[in-house]
Amino acid sequence: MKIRTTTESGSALLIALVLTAVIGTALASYLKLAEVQNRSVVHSQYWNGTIPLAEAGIEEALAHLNKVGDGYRGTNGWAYTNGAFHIKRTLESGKYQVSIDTNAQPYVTSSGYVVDPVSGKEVERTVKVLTSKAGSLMRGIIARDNITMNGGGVRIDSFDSADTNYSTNGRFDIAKSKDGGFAGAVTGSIDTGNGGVWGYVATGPNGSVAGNVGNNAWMATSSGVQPGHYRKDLNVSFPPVAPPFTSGAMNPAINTNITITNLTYLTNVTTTTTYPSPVPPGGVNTSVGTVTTPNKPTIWTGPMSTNTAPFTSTTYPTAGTYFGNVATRNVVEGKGKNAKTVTYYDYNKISGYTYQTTTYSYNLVTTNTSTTSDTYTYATGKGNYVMTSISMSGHAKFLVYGDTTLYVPGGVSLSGQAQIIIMPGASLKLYVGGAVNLHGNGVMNGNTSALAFQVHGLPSCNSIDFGGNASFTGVVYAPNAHVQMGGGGSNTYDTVGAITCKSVGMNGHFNFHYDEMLGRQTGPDLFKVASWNEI
Amino acid sequence: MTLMEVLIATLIGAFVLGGMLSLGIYTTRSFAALGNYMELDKNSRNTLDRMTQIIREGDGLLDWSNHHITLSYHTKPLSFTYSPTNKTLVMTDTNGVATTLLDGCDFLDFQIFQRTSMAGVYDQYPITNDETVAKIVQISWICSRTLVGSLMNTESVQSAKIVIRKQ
Repeated sequence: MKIRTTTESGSALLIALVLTAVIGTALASYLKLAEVQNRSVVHSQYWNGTIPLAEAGIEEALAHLNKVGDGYRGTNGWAYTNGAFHIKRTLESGKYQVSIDTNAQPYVTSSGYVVDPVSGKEVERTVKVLTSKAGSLMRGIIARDNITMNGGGVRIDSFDSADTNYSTNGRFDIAKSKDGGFAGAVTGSIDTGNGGVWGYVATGPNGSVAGNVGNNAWMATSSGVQPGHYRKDLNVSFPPVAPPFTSGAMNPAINTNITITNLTYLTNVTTTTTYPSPVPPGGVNTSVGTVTTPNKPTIWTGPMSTNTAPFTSTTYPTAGTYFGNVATRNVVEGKGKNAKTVTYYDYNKISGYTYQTTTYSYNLVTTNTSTTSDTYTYATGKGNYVMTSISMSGHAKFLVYGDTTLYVPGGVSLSGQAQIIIMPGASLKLYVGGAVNLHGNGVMNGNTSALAFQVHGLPSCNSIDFGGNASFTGVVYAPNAHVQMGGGGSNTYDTVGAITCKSVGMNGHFNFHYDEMLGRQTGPDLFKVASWNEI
Repeated sequence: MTLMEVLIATLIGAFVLGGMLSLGIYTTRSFAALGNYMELDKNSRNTLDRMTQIIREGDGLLDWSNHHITLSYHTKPLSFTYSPTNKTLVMTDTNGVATTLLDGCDFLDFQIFQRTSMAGVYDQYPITNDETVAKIVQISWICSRTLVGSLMNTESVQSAKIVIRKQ
């Protein structure tokens, strides 16, 4: 049998193999490129996806910090190990691990982890933030909507009741006023009328300012808004006010006669040579001086010099009356038979002693006590109280003689000569759910601190009206309330404290002095992120 | 082998060789285009990732224009500058070292948004011209590549809004 072979069959096979190899290589390369591209894109997506997870951990840490405050942080699943508090969470898209260190204003370190499904490897990114306490909402006048100032030149400025350079006995002193006043309208505008803000104003992006704003120098010589004293990026959240308690509160005493002890403090300056013990509250003024006495003192401080003067006597000086040596001179006086020899003694006679003295001056306070008795329509001491509403007129008086927290679901109305009196050392935190009309004689706060009178407006409180002679020292936080300040008559009333509300209208003779101490002492006291870094 | 057989074989061979040649040319062009696009995409993605990381961590904006931003980055200036002439985006880091992040950039635009959020609107951060109140930086660009002298690859607009965390 003869087998026939041809070269053509081999060529076709070769060509087919080459073509297949070329096409196969091309396809493989395409696939490889596509795979690399896919791997790169997926890695990028998951690399970016770790940041939201890490930030979720930071959010949880901040929520935890704000819940426990300055208390122990090892609660709610947070475990203390290796000098920090840790927690892990696994979510659908990945997991995060976060830690809080033990500092008062701690660092929060959070790592987000996502598994890259292509490579199967875990992608990690870590963020470290430094926390700080959030600023107080108590900063001058802050409103959600408009602030409108009309009338007799309303002045908004500031002072610092905790600094003697900017207050006198903790009270506003026009000679020590500061230009740190502030008015802020988050979604509205500000109109100072013919008054002004000695300090700064701020609105949201769509707000505007009309009137006069600036520092002391600007307000003394110029009008309008000083460059740099107006910002359009005010952003404030207004947490709602909740009732302070739900049960267990007392009712105020009604129509009760109360004897009030009035204390008058007299100050006398006393000077002694011995340091007072105990040290008086006002401190001690130490003075060092010199004194000269003819006789040598038994007690002195520092060096003592002996004062002398040349002296001659015919009798030998007694010991202790001269300084140094005594020179003896024999002098013949007279002539002839009357001649006689007289002995003279020359020496430095001590005339006195000069030495240092230290005296201590301090104030001794004496207290005069007197008592007065009066009948009060309502009276509250230390504790929680509740009243459905308050309506006072005529000469009605509400006495607060302790640290009172008063919850009034309804409104508060004062008219005629009615007055709320807060005794020195006492305080009133008023949580109110209805309209507040503080007319009449308003609220007499016997304390220098505005914190002694606080009005907290619940969401249903939509109006707070200060009228009549109702100047006051206090703070108002009522996010849903329009605050109207009117009256004043021909007198100018000083209102001290801070106001946070929905909107503000001022009409009358008012000056508003923001106590900068409030910004340091009050507020929600929440932690916020002060610094954000990826590590 | 007759003349007819030779002609037919030549014709078939020419078709086969022509097909192989065209396959090779188009495969090469396709590979070049794909590689080009991958590089374009990779550069854009890397640039975006890098800028996102840096801007997010910045202290705030020091200077701004549509083609330029300067950040305070760990208290030192760091800038991104787009040159329409050179079609490049250059980063100058805190040590003054310039690095070209993008080339072949036909369009690039910076926008800034202030930090006060607006209630009741979808895009809650309003646009601003004041870098001192900027909270968000938006960057958009379009890059392209040419192949054998003609515009071959143009990516779609790359855009991102980056929140400055420390603001």
